[in-house]
Amino acid sequence: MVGRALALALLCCAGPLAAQHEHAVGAPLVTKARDAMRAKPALSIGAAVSPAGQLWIVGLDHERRLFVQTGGGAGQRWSEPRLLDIGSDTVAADGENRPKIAFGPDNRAVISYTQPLAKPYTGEIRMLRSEDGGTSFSPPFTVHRDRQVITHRFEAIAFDARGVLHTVWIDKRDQAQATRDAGGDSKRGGYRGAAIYRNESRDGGRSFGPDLKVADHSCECCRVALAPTPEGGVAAMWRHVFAPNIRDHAFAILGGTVANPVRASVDDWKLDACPHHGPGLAPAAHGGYHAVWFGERAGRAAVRYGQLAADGRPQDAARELPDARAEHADVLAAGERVAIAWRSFDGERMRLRAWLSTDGGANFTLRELASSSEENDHPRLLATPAGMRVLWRTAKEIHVLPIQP
Amino acid sequence: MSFRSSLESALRAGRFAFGAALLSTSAGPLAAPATVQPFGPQTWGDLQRAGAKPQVVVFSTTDCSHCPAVIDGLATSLRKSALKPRLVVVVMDGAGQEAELLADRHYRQADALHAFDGDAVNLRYRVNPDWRGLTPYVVLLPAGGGPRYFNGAPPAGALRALLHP
Repeated sequence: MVGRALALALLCCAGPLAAQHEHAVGAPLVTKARDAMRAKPALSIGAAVSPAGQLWIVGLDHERRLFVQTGGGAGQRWSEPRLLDIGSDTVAADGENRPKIAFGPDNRAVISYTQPLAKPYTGEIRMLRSEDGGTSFSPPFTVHRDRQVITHRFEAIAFDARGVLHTVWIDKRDQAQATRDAGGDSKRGGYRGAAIYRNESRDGGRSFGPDLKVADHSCECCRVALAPTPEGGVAAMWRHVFAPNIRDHAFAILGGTVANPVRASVDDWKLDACPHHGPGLAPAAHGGYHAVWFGERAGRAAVRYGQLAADGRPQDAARELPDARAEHADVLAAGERVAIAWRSFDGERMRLRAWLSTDGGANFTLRELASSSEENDHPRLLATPAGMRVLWRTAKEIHVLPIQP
Repeated sequence: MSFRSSLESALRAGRFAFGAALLSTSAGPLAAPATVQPFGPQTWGDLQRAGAKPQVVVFSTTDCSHCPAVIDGLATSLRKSALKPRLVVVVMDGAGQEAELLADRHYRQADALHAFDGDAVNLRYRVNPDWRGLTPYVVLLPAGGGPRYFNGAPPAGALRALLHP
């Protein structure tokens, strides 16, 4: 049961040894960033299923306060939002930035978020820890050891089957160093994009191991996708910047003795811009992974679906989702059943749509799930004890929609 | 909430403390933006109709690491042009950060600086349904001609065609 719950936590969210890190950045920076963000909507939520099978969400309310809520399943009401004390922190919760929640063994739970700092493109990864299954949470602390006012953003978190908490994020320390080495000239520094860093905690977030580099040259502005491996570990997929400027995707198994990212998509999208559009990843029943991503191939922009081998290499020709305006897709698998959910704007309303398969992704059926004229979040897929669910937050409510491929 | 009502409610809420009265974008070029203007549902249409001289519109975000260099490059090219085209920068997530935007040396190169506060998906669709949210998103608006759209910096040939019709 615990193993299953761990896998569930992995599916919906995207290291141990040193003392817990406390916040090191001065309040004025944070206050400035908070003021800057106040005007913007903040609909992005994270979600997970607890070991007891309860659906949890974490997000920001209309006053940009961090809250958790439980319930929302079939015939269930949402609990009253419970506000969490995060002091003077600001939480990024729009678009690809979202707070996240994950459950581990022994009543452990963590909530993470990126706190933007006042300097453009900068942030740090913050976390709250619970040792009573989410009844109470610690004050926030910083997850990484590097404390430069640079990019540490777009974190993803997951407990593996052994209960190790993995935190992965986009980090610009190497780009900053290359710029310093070039006398402050980032162009001459020549570092492509950012880097993927990670750490591990073996005690549910009490302490963390060192910051470890997974890969140089990631995209700077797209979410990272995590999925459980068959061996009980964690796999990651992210948008990369392959030389000279190809923004395809890379894949790596975290925690191996050698981090050896492989190219997972081959759109050959040459781009010097920020897509703000990260991938989705889910384990396949017979090994390997299901993946979805946005990219441009031969001038044709689309969200595509493909199957990856166990080492992340593409196994087959990627297929376009049957929606030219699909965006921010998520993917989930349970045995031979595969679900892909996305949103798509038709000029008047945002439509929530799904592509469903019962044969491991060989064939799919398109299904319309909902639509809204309100501002809305990207959809998230979740495996719950009652089956697959799509979570979709609009300005007025949080939808929990059952889907049965 | 509709695109228009988003803007109206934002204005009622006083979010645009800087230059809220300057809704028109058809004013002459500025040495540097003195205000951050709201980018509302009518602004895109106004820009397209302000056809006396060519314009370059850059849709940017504050977390877009490519945007500053693209703005710098465009500003340099436009300054050299005898046509004196306008450089318009729209910061998609800039509402509430007006003072910071005005202090930013990249944004200060714009002739007009806007902050958008509304439904970004809707705005993208209005500008060009094919815009998938990438930034910088650059639109070349020739004097009296149709817009051309680019993910990132436009190629030199497209810029030449705008500046030397």
